[in-house]
Amino acid sequence: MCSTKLPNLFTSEAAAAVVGAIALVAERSFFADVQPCDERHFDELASGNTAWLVATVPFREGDATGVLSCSLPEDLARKLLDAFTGRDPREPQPSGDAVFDLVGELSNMICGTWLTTMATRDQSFTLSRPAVEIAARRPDTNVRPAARVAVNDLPLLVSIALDDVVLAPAGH
Amino acid sequence: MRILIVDDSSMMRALIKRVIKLTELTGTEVLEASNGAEALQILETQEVNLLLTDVNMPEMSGVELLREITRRDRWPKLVRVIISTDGSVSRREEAADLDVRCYLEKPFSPEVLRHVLNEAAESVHV
Amino acid sequence: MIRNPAGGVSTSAVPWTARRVVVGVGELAVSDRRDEVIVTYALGSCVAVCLFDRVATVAALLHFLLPEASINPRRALEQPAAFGDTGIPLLLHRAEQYGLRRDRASVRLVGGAEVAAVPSCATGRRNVLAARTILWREGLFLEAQEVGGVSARTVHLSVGDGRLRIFNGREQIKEM
Repeated sequence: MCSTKLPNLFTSEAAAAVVGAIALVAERSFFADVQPCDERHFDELASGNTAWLVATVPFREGDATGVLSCSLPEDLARKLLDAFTGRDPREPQPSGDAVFDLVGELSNMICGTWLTTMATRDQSFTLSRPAVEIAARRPDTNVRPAARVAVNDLPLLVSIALDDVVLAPAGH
Repeated sequence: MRILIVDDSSMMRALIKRVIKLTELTGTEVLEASNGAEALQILETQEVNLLLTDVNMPEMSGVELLREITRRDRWPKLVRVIISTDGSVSRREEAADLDVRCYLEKPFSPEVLRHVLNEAAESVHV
Repeated sequence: MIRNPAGGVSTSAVPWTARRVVVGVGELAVSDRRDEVIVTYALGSCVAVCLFDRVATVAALLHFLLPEASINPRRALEQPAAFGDTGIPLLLHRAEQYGLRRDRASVRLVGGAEVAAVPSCATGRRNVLAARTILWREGLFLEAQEVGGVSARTVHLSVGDGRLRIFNGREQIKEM
């Protein structure tokens, strides 16, 4: 049963809201530029050999529950960490745990910002602690994501799944 | 002045610490906790003037922490600030009922955090 | 070019008693002379980083063109002020030599417009975000900014009182 508050995720409005949430978080807390990109451009950006990190954030908003996933290459994660903390590049490299933590916090903020803008403003929501892991491989772009963007010319992908909802992407 | 930062993200705690260090809040000691339960243990043993807490945390959330602080009624002068991604009206109303001085919505810039810290610090009676 | 004292040419925007210090693209200037006004023109996608220490009476202005030196390393060696990530630390270093202190400095940004000819590059926006990144790395908070849009700007920074006046052509559009 679809939530009466959260929208069909495959509408252009919902997709724009996800991109908007990523852009707001990236600009305000990470001073990073976000540009939406198509599948081809995303594939070009993602063609490197760097490891990918994926964070999953379970959420509940009213009757609706779901999971937001955020995937990005490790080099982008490290650059965002530097921007967020103001780290001087001459300082020792942060630990892997710090990078994981940063990716979790980034995903947490994207999810929260998206829920705040898309859901009814009267309704509060709950986010569970993000789980971050190294992805076995780069994200499968055959599955239509909520948003594909370039963050300072590096790829970042967000997917959102609502529980117990059967959705058909627009145009299928 | 002693500030307690409660957030399960070490990166967020690091950001807040840096802003505190760079602001005009000279002579400030900063304590950290990764959830509400840890925060309560610190409050029981040390005098804290300003509390900044996230909302969604494991073991004990920020709202549960603030409710417990209110229930115990042992820290009437503690200035409370919520930091949250949830900008909903209901969450803000809930915060107001918990005697929260400032509600800081994520994402925020360092300048906004500094402003909130300075504003909250003015309410502190050391 | 670090400091470029111009002749005492007066314009309607600059008082006749003031000396005008002109900063070109990829240049910076620092001054502790109360009678000087640091001026930079034609801020399109470029960004002006303006510093002012009221106690030390030191003002500094950088006019940079691109966000990162890695875009053109050779040029960055010859002209570090052309890039945000090399120019801003240089600006701070020079200003501190004049007595500016970071904990007292006000920081203001101007520029970062999107030039209509190449809208997809978002250079102006990138420059503003790069400035924010470097300033935060340097431990500085932004006090105010007048950025974005599509029009070029001119900036006058008065050394005596830190007054920042922003023009679009001859018209003053803002004072910070």
